[in-house]
Amino acid sequence: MEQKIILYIEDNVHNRRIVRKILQSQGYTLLEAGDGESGLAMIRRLKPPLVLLDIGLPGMDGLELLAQIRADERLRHIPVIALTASAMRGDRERFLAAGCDDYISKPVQVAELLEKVAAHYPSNHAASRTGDQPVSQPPRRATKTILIIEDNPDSARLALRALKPYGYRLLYAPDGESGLAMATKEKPDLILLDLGLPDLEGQTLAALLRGTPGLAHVPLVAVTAWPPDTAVRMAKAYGCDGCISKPISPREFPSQIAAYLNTEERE
Amino acid sequence: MTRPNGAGPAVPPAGAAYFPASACSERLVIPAAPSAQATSPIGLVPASRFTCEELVAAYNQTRVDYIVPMPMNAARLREYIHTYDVDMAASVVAVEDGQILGLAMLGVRPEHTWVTRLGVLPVKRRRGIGRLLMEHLIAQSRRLDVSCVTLDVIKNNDPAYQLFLKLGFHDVRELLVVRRPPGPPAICVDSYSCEVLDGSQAIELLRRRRDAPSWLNETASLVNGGNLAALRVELADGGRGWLVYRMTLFQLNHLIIQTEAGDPHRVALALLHALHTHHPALDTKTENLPADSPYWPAMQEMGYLESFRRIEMRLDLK
Repeated sequence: MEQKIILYIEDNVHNRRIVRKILQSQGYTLLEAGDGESGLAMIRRLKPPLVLLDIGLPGMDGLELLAQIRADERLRHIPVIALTASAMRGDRERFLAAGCDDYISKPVQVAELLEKVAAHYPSNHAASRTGDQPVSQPPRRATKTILIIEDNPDSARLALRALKPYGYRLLYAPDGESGLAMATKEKPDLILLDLGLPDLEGQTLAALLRGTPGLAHVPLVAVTAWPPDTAVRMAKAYGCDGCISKPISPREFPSQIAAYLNTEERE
Repeated sequence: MTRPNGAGPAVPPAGAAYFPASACSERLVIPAAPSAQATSPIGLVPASRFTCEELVAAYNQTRVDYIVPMPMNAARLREYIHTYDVDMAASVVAVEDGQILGLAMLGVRPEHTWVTRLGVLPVKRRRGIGRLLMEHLIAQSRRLDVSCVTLDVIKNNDPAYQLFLKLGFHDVRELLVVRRPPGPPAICVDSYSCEVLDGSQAIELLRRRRDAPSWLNETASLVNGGNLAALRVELADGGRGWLVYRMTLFQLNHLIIQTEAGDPHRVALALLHALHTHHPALDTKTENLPADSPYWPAMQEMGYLESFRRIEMRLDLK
């Protein structure tokens, strides 16, 4: 299968890692540059099909880099999507006038990122224009898939062991970023979410999952050691369908999980 | 990493965090407390001798049974060190027989220091390790000639709170950690005009702030963290004020509100209405809002929920 390459020019390593995981989950290969000069060199050398460009770069900033791309007849056809933390009114028009094909403001929303990348990626142009779904859907499965997002290895092991005899397809992500990427790619039938994660906070991840195409209605259950009243309040506010207290009871856990899956079937 | 149906995914092995032999070559050896069960001495090693990966592995284990565990990864620890001016040479790790038992970090700014990320492995508690770590950080603070040491302890973490009292710390105030799920404002507010400001304008506003922020929200923390933006509103009745906030990739946080004129409640409602109209799809979190903040009622009306509370404590050195 042909690689779908995107060049992402961004000085913040943390942002690069998250965007990389999200786009990798959709089958893209992300090349990265940490500043404008090396980004321009990579564009000249590799001529990537699509560029994601942080506007606020140190040294040569995004708009200057964009001007160089648009001034070069060998590069000017490359679609460029600007990412910027700037919240100034009129920025969108300014960036589009400078030659950006589209514009995403930070903090990035997963749905918007995937939609705009799919819309501007050269091979997807026809599909997006005719209104086809740009994000590939996994085939229908008879076996229910459960994604467990949990950073504590002991807690993860306990949950996996409790569910193993029931024939589910079990997926495990040890942090929020990989959980988000796995959920986006696999579209599980149920997501178990630890609220205390080492990278993205559980609530932030819940909000992102709810805003991601194909995941808005997947049963989402918070699993947490927080005091029950706080946990239930937070889980409900962030769109979770329920809350299970840690440590889980291996005896009760499978029937708790089955109840969430059965609820989905009734609906 | 996944495996086919039934086999189950791989889970990383559990285990103690170990530090490299090189890290303890110049360690300070301190005898354990008289009641200690172990016979070997406990060493205190500067945190700067460990990698962030080693420190977070140990730190996450110290917090597994906390009320609010707040685990970190190495990238987040690096950001934390930078944002909050944590001095890793002044921060300290307790070790014994090659194993990290606990750690504590020290934020250092001109007039005061801040104790953070104190933790001891659950199986190694009640041996005086927390006290050793704390005494070391207090001694470091005295050497730095600062006027006081501050810290924030999660409310109801009684063992830690009692330790801090014994060391001479006293309560300053209660602080709230609050958050709001995504969504546009659900209430109407008085009509207002709003101006959106960029990061440099946000920093200008912070120079005029009148609040008494905790360490997390001091101007130095906000400037170090970057990605700042601000809103300024003016109400028809002449009320006006501003809101500075930080935008990370998926979250708004570190909200600082100031009223310049008029009723603080109405000004805060207008600012929050503007913020969530501007960013309706983003999660919002703000830490260490004073429990008696005049803005908290407006935040609750705008959909903010209390996540947990901390107690701010201070030890005066001068």
